Amino acid sequence: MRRGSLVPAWALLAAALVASACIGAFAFTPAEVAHHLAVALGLAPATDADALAHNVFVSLRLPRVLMSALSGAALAMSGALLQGLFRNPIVEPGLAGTSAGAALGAAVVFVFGAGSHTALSFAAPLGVLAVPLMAFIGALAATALVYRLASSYGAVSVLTLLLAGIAVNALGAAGTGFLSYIARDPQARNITFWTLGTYTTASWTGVLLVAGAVLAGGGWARLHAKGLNALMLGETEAAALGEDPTRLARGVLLASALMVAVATAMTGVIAFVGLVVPHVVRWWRGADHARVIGASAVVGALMMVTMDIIARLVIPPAELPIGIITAVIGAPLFLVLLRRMTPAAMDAPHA
Amino acid sequence: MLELHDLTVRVGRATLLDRVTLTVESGAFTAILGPNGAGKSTLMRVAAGLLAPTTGRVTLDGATLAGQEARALARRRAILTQGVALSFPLTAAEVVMMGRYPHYERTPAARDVEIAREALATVGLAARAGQLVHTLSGGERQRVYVARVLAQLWPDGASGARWLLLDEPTTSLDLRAAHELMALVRTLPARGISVLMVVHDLTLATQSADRFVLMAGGRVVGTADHPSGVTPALVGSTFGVHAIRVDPPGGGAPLWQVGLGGP
Repeated sequence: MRRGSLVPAWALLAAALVASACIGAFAFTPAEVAHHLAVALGLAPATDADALAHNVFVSLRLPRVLMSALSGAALAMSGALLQGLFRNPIVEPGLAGTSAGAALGAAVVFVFGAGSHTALSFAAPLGVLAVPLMAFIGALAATALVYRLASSYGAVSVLTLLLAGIAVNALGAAGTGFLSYIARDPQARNITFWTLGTYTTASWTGVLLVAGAVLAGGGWARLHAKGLNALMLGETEAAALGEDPTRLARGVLLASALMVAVATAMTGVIAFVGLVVPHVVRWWRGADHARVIGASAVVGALMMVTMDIIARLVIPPAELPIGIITAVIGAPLFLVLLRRMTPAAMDAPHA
Repeated sequence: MLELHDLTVRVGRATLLDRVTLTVESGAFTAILGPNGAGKSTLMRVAAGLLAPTTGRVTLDGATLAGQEARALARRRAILTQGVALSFPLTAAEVVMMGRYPHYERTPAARDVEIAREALATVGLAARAGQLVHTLSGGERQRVYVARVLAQLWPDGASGARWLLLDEPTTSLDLRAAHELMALVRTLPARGISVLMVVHDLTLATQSADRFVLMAGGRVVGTADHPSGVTPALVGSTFGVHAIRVDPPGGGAPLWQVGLGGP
């Protein structure tokens, strides 16, 4: 079981991707999905009869399906990385401040950025990169701050981590709240909807950006699997094994902030994926990062594609914000994990 | 030979090590004894090259530690601290394989897998390879960590001295597990691994080690090349206790009786 193959997860993901491509206000059969894919790839001739359906599929459905998969992979890998860095399985981007920081950074651009006519439209020259870039800066600053507060002399105190996370999250939420308060109506509503996560706005540009972040962050993590494993023993032990804990910590902060920021910039805040998925993966395949990272990506993608299907089915024709569903599943698990931790582990697992 | 030249470590206004000069011979089991706050753990971290001293330097077999490539150093010196606690489900085999990390790049060679297996067998846990470390008993868990540092220092043909630094690894162990661990550590010098170990239990130390360093207040207050050199007077003044040494009539390791009431 611990060395379980990834094939079943890939098969389930493929099935979920097809199902997600079929389901929606504009329904497709799997055969139609195959046909539109073939046309889009130039493998089959386009017919005039299905021009509208083809357009809906290629411009709306396909990016949405891919975006849910990619953002799930990004959030799950980021959760796995942060848990390794903090040496605690209850950490995730929503707890460590990463998501709140990314949300604040993105909201700044929403309100003052390209679309607005204020004197502060500084982000205009950055174009499509403005939101992810500001989200990255926010995510990195918030996570680094929480990490700095929670760790001293190579030990991470879980209690300090949780409290620092609460404070940084509250600060981020206050900033985002303030921005949506001063924003004009359409922007304000966007921010509100977006803080709960949504895939309705998925675009091909967004898909490419998140794919890039997933490749960069996941690739870095895969290359540093050994170092990340050593870090699980503690910073002193990692250093004694010839690894550089400071550089590893910096890499984890950068990679996880990048993946969370770009995903959050495109889809809004989606909590608890980064908690649930690595946990399932470790139970399934063990804690070796060489296996955890890739499996987290596949299972994270599977989870979010499935969540997005549920979001479209619960209250048709409206859609449930995706963050609500992940919270309903993730929050109870978080409480179970918290309950299972021993008082000693809460205090300082690596004195 | 591990040589500490005039080491001082200051953190803020506190002086943790105060002009320590010490030579630790290779091929032996050297025990460090001393009360809490004597600077023993700091000395271990500096000797391992994990903490840069404020002044002074450390040489390992003639070469200065500072500036050595971390992975090359990791192939010939390992350190085991008392505070290792895993929050993740790793198997014994996976933890022991970490000892081979400085020896391979991305994927372990067949020889690395073999060495990890032999190391686990050496500590008597071959049958536990696939078991999750946090489900093992305290004594077994500590032996897995010892197997990890053994795998790290496994001779395997390469020449050169190897050093194992142990910082009170018996602290959380019960009587039997502690003695088993000491018995294992005692066999290491014969395998080409020199041992420097912080030991709390005086009797256990004088039973097992060859050489002794006594520390108090960040200084080395005494050394002995034989258990008989650890005198009641030295122990008394180091720990601030009244110590009586009982040498069993039939020979063998001394026993210690310790009371308050000044040296």
